[in-house]
Amino acid sequence: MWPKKLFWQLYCSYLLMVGVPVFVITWYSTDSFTKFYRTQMVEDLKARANLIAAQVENYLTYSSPGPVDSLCKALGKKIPTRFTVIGIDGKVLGDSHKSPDSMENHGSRPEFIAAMKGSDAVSERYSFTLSESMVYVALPAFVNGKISAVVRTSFPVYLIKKALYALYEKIAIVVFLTAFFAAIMSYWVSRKISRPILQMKLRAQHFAAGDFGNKLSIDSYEEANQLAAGLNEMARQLNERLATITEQRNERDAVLSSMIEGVIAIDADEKILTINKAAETLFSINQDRCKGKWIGEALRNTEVHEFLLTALRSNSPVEKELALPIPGQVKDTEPLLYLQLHGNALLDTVGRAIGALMVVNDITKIKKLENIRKDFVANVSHELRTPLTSIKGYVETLLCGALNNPAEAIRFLTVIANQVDRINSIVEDLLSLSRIERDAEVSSVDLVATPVCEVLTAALETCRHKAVLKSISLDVECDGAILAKMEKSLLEQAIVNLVDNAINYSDEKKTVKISAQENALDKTVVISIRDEGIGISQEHLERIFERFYRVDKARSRKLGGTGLGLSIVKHIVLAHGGKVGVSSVLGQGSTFTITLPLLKQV
Amino acid sequence: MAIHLQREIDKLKKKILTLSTIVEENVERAVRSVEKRDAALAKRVIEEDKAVDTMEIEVEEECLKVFALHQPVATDLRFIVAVLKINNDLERIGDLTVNIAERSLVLAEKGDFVFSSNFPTMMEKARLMLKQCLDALVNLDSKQALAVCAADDEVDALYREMFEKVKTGIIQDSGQIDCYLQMLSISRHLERIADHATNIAEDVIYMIEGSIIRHSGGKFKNS
Repeated sequence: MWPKKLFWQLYCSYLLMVGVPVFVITWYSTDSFTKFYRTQMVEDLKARANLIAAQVENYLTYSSPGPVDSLCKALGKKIPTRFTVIGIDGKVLGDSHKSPDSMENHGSRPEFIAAMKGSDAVSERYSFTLSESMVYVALPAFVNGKISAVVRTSFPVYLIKKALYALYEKIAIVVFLTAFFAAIMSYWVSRKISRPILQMKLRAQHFAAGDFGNKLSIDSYEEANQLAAGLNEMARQLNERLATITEQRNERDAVLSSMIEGVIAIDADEKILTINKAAETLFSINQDRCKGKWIGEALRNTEVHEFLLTALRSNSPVEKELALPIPGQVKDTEPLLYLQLHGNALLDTVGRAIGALMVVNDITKIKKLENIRKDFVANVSHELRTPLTSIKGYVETLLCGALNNPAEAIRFLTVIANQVDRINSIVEDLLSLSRIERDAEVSSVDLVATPVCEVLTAALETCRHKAVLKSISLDVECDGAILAKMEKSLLEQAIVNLVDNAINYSDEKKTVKISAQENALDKTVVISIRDEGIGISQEHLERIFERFYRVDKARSRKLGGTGLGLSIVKHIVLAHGGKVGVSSVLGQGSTFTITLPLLKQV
Repeated sequence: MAIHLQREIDKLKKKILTLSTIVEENVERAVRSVEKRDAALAKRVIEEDKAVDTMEIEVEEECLKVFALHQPVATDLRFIVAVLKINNDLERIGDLTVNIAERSLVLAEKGDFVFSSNFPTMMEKARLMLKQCLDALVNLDSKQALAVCAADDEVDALYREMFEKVKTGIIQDSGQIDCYLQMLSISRHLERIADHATNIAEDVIYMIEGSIIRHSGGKFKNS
């Protein structure tokens, strides 16, 4: 059975409900009426036959049938019934419509045979005499208690039928009209019931498709109205909830995608549920391709995979550090990405793990800083230990008797004094470095607008003596109008450090060029110190501003460097809001630049 | 029945992907250990290869099980045949990686030997080829697989160049002959890895498209 439309179901059942009783009643009543009519007819014929029989009995005593026949004919004219009187031998004695002589012997007629047995008989058959269908009623006529003749009355069937047909016609018209009205009414009622439901169905389909725009307005029977109102309410709430869900999802997506930490969530089948942009970048994978994929397929890294599995199976948060090779960067000095993974199982309400969440932090920078710190501590101790060892050595020598030899003692003490100076300068440098750093942090460096030239000249004065000793000429090129905000003594120290370095690493009779230029384009002052010294190879350039970083350790120490000079320069410049830079060609010299923000000329 | 087969195939896919990830990471480590003369890393590579060998056997047994129990046809059949072959290639790559790691151990002791500038390029190329063919396997991307096949020629050319360089290097600086030979050996292994990557790429194409593209181009003209 295929589903039928409600309208047709209602319509058909209404039609059946009205039609079946009407037709049953019609059929039954017609049938009963027909029977009743026939019975009445037969009874009527019987009554007439009885009347005739009573009269015919008197005439039967005559020997000739003439009087019987004339009686029949006389009565037949008055009553629209055919009368026949048949003798016991079957010979017709009298008939109301025909002459008895022309009629054949009626001894074989069924009603005659039945009547001869002494009872009433009814039969309906074709009359050959009258050439039409007739209803016959026959009964015996008694003379002295003996059957002496059979009286038969008959009536044409077509007259009965005619009367019945007239009746049928009327009934048919009434039934037809009833059926017609019933059809119209059923149609109307069914439509009235099914229409709101149809409308609601259409709206519900729209709702399902996500269109909550139009409200359903139904003005019909109460239940439908209530249902429609309920539907509208449901749609409104659904719409609201959907909006909330969408909003929450958008919020979540926005939060996830703007996170710096990578986030990956997997379900219990190890398939990726969520992955954010940061994770995509960290693992260099394609976010859109990953969703719903198996983690080992999307993110080909056994360690991450194992980590997630551990997170999925453990009850407590897990943590791990990971070094990830950066693809396509084998040549880099640091090709590894250091990641810190935090993992946690996602639990449902029952406490069962339905997935795992992993948060990834990029700790490469922290790792680098940590390394620098470790190096720093190691360097400081090393730098301090070297002079201390020699001091200790000389002091022990002195104690062991060298004191008694004044010439030796003085030499040793000079060395000790030198080493103490060295320690002192290192400590001085460290202190000034930390002071600058601290000042820069709390921005307590007192910046005053000062002509740059003034500082350059002052710095050069400090270095002049050393330059003269190595016959190095110092060229200055400076526009007196350039002003910059600075803390004069600090910047002077920075420039002195750079010029000092330049002199230290240059051979005799070379030139060190110092210049200050204004870069109008990005509003900066560029102070550059160029030497023609030994230069620095490429691999060191990046790190020379680090504390205690030395290109050539032995040489630096011989020249009296603490390994902190450039670091101090860097921090001074940073405190001024500027930048330091270096470019160098091995064997041809280096250029250090200090870039300071330009003060608008007054 | 079909569901069982699908489950087995999914399992197999996960296994072969896990294996490929291990191999890929190991190649990366081996290359890095050569680059940085990192003996510890090289030792780790040799250690990890045991896992590769175990997994290779597991994958093969799994494949045979699927054949015996499910009689796969069409795509499934191609998949399992391809997995069998890829499995083999991956295992070979694993062995070559161990060879590289062993060379790396030797080199780590020598220290100050300077490689030809082509060497990092070659290492990177071979590694990238392996990565790309595995990407093609993961994403079922026949275009990417074809790109891997094309890249093999470059690695072959690099290998020939390396051969010449080692030759001239030995003539000029016979004191470093050991290191030069190690370098030649490593570049040969890299070239072989690239070849296996090409095989995997071809198997991936076979798996996706059902056509065997082997021996159709002018490849493998190298010694």
